[in-house]
Amino acid sequence: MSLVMKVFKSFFNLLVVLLLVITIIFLIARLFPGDIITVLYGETASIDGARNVVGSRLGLDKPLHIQLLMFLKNVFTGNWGISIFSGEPVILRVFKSFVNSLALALLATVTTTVFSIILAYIAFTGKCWRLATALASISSAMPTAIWGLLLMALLVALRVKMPLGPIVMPLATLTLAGAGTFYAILKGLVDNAMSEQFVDLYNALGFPRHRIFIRVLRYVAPAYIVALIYRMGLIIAGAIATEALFQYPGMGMLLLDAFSSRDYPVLIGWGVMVSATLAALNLVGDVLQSFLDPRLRDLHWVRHW
Amino acid sequence: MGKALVGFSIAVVLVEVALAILADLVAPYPYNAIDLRNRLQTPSISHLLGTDHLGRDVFSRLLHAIRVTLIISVSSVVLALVTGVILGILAAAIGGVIDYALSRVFEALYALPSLFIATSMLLILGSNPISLVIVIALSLSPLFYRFSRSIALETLVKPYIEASKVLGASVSWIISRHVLREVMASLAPATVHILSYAISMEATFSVVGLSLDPSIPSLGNMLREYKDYILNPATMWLPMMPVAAIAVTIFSLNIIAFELGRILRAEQT
Repeated sequence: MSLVMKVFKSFFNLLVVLLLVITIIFLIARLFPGDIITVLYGETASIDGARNVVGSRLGLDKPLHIQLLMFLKNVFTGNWGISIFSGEPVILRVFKSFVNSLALALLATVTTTVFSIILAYIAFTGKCWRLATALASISSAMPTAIWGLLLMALLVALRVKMPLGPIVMPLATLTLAGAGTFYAILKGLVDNAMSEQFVDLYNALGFPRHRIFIRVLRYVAPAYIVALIYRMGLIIAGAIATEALFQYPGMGMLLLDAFSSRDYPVLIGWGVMVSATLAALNLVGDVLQSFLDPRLRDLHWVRHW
Repeated sequence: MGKALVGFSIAVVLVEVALAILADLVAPYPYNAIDLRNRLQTPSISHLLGTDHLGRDVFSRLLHAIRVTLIISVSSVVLALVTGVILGILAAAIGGVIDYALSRVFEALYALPSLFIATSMLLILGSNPISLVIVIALSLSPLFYRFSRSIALETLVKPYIEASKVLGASVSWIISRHVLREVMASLAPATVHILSYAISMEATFSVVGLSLDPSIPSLGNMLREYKDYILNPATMWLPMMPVAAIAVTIFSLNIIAFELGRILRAEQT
């Protein structure tokens, strides 16, 4: 298959997954406690006539599949409703938080990559690999929430003022908590790659260590990038503890606010936005991987069910 | 990996399990006994780990919290393990439409943001321990499903299974005797690792206020209750208690998982 066909095909797959996921979100949302008319319009709509009018305006008198189609149409035309809590259009609220989370995710991916590559290089040169491994196992021993708390404690102990700009503390937390795992992934990949024949060749040619390391990095890049993109998705899908600790206005805080104020339209919009992002990131990962690894361009697209 | 470290990790987990079982006997005070005259006491002989902002004994509270967290995380991992493994092996053994349908369902579950599932389930089922167990199990089960399905598929084409078939073994015999064994053997390290993941999920959900009733002591709830005391150097030790408990537990479980995987790999080769 040509590359264009492949991208087209995986785009189609993405659309199918997305439709399925949005349908599930619609069905789950119907199970939310409370009656939607009361939620939207308050107790004033308790007169039967008024309820019927409101109900038919929302399409609640139509059969389920028609309601689903209306919901899908609204999702794709950007008509995501009005936030019950703030009165803003849902799509705006979700988009604002999304931009904040995206910035955090991109920056955290960069810093985590830099740290894990430095640690992996230390381990690679073989001098103080015990130190690198120890640092990494400490980093991955604790959940992100705890790293956030410890960072706070450190700042208090050092008497540094807390607000270093809103993004710095969440970023530092995510970097500290992620560097260990990504070092472990990278080290595993590098160790595997070291037994490849091309490394022996470079050794025989007398390449310096750091140049071999760069070659090996290039070799393991496709697999590593998939892992990175997966984590980026996790951060966008709500680095909920980090955001809550430092009051960072990203997707995690939005979800918590929507949950505690029972703001169902925002909750649904959150689900749609995050599922779309995850599906898109999945696609980006697939395309990037087959772009970076020429051997996969022809094989990878055969899906193993 | 040093032997001492592995021994230490196993000891930590065993002690925690023992303390969780014997919490009522070991704890010097009831976990919710409020004593406002002795608030925020630093650790001493009468209060081993001090008292919190309501004068409750932190040590007693920590014991009960370890019990609650262990019950929640172990039962959610068991629930996810049982459903994931059974359905995974079934999908691999039957194949066809059932395999396709199950795989799509678990794929959708995996593609759906787990926090959306979590908040929805908590809205629908209410914030109680059982819905928290279901929430954690739901987000863990796709891992077990995919893993056991792929191992079962690998096992089913091995020569000894063919031999077993030729000798007249029934399908249920092959599955329970051979496939289940291979799946469990390769899943064991991952399960221990996922248990530590479940503990950190409980902590994360509780610390942001998404889960349990605050009156139930769990490690995550203790974190949430005490986290603001971290801002004052004089009371900083208070939130450090649940922090240390969570960190040591997760660290030990990860070491055990690593060691278990190493032993199993060494036996295979």
